[in-house]
Amino acid sequence: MLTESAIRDQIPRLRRYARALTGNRDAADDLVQDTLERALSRSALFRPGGDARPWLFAIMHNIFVNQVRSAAARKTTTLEPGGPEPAMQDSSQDGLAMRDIQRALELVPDEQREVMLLVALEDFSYAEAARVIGVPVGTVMSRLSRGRERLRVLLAGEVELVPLKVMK
Amino acid sequence: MSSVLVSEDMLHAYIDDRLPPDERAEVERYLGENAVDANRVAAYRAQRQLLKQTFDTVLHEAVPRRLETASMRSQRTPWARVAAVFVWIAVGSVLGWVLRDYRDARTSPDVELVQRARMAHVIYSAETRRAVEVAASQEQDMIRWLSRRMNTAVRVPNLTEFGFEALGGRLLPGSRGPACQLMYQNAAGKRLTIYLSRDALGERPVRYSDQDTVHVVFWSDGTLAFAVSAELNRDELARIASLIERQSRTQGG
Repeated sequence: MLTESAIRDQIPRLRRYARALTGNRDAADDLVQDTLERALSRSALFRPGGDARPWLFAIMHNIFVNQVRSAAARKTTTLEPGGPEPAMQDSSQDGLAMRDIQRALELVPDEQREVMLLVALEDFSYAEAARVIGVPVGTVMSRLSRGRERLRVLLAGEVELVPLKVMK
Repeated sequence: MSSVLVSEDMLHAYIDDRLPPDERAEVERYLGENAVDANRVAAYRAQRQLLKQTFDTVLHEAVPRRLETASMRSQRTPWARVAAVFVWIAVGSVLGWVLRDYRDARTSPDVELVQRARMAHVIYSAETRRAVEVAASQEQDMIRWLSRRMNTAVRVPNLTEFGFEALGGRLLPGSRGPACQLMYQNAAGKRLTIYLSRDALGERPVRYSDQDTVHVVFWSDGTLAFAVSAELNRDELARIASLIERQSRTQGG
């Protein structure tokens, strides 16, 4: 059985990941809320002695994938008013770099972005990331490699910031 | 990538600091000789760091209250409330037993409420064709009508999660004014009624009466007194009562 406080402790991390994943504050918090609710309703299924963090991230992954599949709520919410995220209002050198990477990140395919963020933000091992997403480690590695290269090219300005469908 | 010894996976594991020392040295040696990959690795390293720097700000934000409450079990599951209902029933049973002589001596409003509710249940739930005055199919009309006659907002609780569908309602005389009865039926044809009365003399905790086969759970929120009657066992009835109580509270006001 998972305790409420064990779940609550993970909220800041879930929010960080969701923010990077969706690129939108409200959409991210909606995702976190759905995750918490589902986690509570399924806490009886939690393996005793297990680690709450990958379990919660796996729940979030499933909800996110379903949302994207059902006509991508993310794409519409990013267009809604609400303005830029707080992290983007800084116009210093760092602030600009942060803004660039947020924008570039949105142009990385969801599945590659997920892996990059699980590894970079959460510091999950490749095996853990594979379990969270439910794919083999080899798939994690290839997504990581393609995602990083994609982001590098985007940030280096080697391609125009155009929608990804062109690349497929 | 061009080396047999150093794979693409190893480069990433190097960036993510997941390599044992000997392999790390190997990668570093390789990168010293391959400027293209060295630049690529440096760029990946920088983006990893920038990602962390960018989104770590979220960790320091105050957590929105809706997320705090979403992580609270009591907010999400009815068990705590069901338990509370059981506790009140226990308290009520003990009190009822202790105070039975007083109650018998002078009919209290609570006893009267239960008697009226049980009577109305027995009489009208036996009706097959005229069980209700207004059918639930005209729910909005029914709600408006009952609310006007009762002089307070009357809601029709949704009991589908227990398999009971609303049939409709009727107006009844209460001891000090109008009362009404909402009738429900499940797939097996079993009926359940909610008796609502404005006779309430203040808030009353949930209590239970099982003097015959029709069991009654009753309580009052200070405005309306509720009595739920059915031929159900105590546990089932308590759970249903808990749901009704919750619905009347969350929708009210």
